[in-house]
Amino acid sequence: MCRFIGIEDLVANALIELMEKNNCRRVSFETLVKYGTVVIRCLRKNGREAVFLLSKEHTNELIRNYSDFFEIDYSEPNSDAIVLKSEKTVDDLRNHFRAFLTLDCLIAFTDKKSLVELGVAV
Amino acid sequence: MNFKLLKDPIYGYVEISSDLISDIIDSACFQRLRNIRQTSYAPLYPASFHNRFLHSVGVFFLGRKAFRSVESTLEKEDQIFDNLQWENIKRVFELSCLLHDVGHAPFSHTGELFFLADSSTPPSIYTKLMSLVENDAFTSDVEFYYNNGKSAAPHEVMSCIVALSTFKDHFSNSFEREFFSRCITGFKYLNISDEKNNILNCLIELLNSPIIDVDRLDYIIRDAQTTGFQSVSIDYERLLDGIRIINKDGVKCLGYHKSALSVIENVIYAHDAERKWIQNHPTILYEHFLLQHSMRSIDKYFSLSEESTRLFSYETLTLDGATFKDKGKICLLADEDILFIMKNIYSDELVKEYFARNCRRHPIWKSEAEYRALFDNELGKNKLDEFEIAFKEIEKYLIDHFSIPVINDQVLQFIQDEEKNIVEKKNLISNKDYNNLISGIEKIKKWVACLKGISDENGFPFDFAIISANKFKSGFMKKDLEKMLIYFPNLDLKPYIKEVSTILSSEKTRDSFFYLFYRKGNNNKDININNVTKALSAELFK
Repeated sequence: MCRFIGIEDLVANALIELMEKNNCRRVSFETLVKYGTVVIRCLRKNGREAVFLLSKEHTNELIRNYSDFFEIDYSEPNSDAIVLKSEKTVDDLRNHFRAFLTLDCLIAFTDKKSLVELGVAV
Repeated sequence: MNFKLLKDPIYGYVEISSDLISDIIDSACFQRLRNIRQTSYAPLYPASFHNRFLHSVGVFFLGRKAFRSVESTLEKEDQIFDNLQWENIKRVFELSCLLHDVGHAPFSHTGELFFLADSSTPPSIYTKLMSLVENDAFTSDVEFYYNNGKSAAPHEVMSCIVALSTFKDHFSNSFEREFFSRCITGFKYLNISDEKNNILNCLIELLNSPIIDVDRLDYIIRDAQTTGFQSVSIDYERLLDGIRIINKDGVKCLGYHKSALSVIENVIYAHDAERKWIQNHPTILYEHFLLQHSMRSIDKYFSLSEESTRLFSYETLTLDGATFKDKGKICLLADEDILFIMKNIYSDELVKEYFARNCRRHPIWKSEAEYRALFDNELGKNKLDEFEIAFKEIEKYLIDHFSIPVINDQVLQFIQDEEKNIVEKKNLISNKDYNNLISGIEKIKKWVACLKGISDENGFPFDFAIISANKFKSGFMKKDLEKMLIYFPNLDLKPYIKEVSTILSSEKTRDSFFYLFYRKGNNNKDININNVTKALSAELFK
């Protein structure tokens, strides 16, 4: 069965890694697409059909449904990004978005190849 | 040119050239839209069986009207295309209005996500579109939009693919294919230093805009009229007559004459009312839930065939179709095919519920207002937030693990097994991640056990479904809407709408809530809502 990875999971898991390793609260859409592509590849390698959902409509939904967590930063020309709101911590992200993942998704989100795309691979 | 007339119940006679009728409207590809329902509102509004065919004709009608309005008010300095070019742009724009939905999946938006289910990244529909258009600027812009999280909806991309493949003769060069595809997908030209692109971007917005466009205008008017839902009246003629191309700080933008302001506010009100009272109604949400999960199972069932083609694909939308081993040929895929498959080929519990409405689960509360009346007092603001987050998390957990947000004995058993699985595979993840997963599973176990206790105590089956709904918030993105320009010719002013209208100040801040559906026991009795509410409020925070 095809697994749809929502933009909220992609953003939250990218930001968890970026905050913990680089103290960075911002992830550009371009980085998200690269990260998502490798996450999906990782899931498929393990036999799961998967697609990530990232479009105008999904971005709007993210901001509608998770306005307490995220906002869009339009300040850099041609590099829109999603920013974690200042009142939220990495623990908030972990408790909300990492605690309920399936094990295979968690492994894909934290795979070394995925982290390379975020620029935080150890 | 010869014309034929199609009678639309809203706009009256729509004049369409005989060529378009015979080449496009009468083609199998376009006629398929008669069998794609516009909405899934029928369980709530039984008359709501209007289809994408009539909607497409309506968008064609409104699009032509909008184009004429822009054309008739174009400033001399903006008339930068020669007559032939302009006539061609108009023709391609009208084609895009007519064909903007020709790639819709069965049951409209319920089915379109499956177009993405293939093994390529980006999904192959994007690469297919770029190869059909064959235009470097288009390819570069689409890649930019995709890489920046601004890709178009899957059905929009599929509509371009179906139209460009089926009606090739209507496009004589790559500019026409490109402009056509941009109108449908909303991929505006990124290079606006070319003044022509600047004007073309305004035309693209007539059909695909984040605010008001002729597609949205038609469905808002048509949905209200067909369902019988009492909404505000929308004077579309006044609105479209007011469209202008306005020069703001050296950039051409689409804006509206001041006389259209009242209609703009009505469109926003009607759109939001439809979202709030129809799309978020638990009956509609449950219907959507049944259809989406049934279609997901059917997609999987067909993907088990050896063929590389998927059930939801370009091939199955065409007259040639695709053949699936042991399952037969599927062509011109429409709602009726999915219903046939659900009746005769693939069935499960959800499919049965789809047909037998008396087998469906029931929402414990039936509106956001009832939910708030039940829980606001019981829990207070902070606990209510916690409560909503808890259910959002359960729903997410269930969808991630089972693809379906249902809670029953099997789920309880699975959670216990999953906990053992995580413990066994502890070495694959970091300690922090391990602790997160274990704390998550403990929470889920507690909540699921709480629901089991409530169902046992109140004598109904342990068989719930959780479906989230959006708390009311305008469907218009504030950032997009506030940039709409309003033109006051008598004052020679072109302010943004946020400076002259209070419509944006009603934005709410809270996000989503949820519906909890239960199944009636053998006695078919309704549950006591107050008892269940009290138990939920008390047990979850023990």
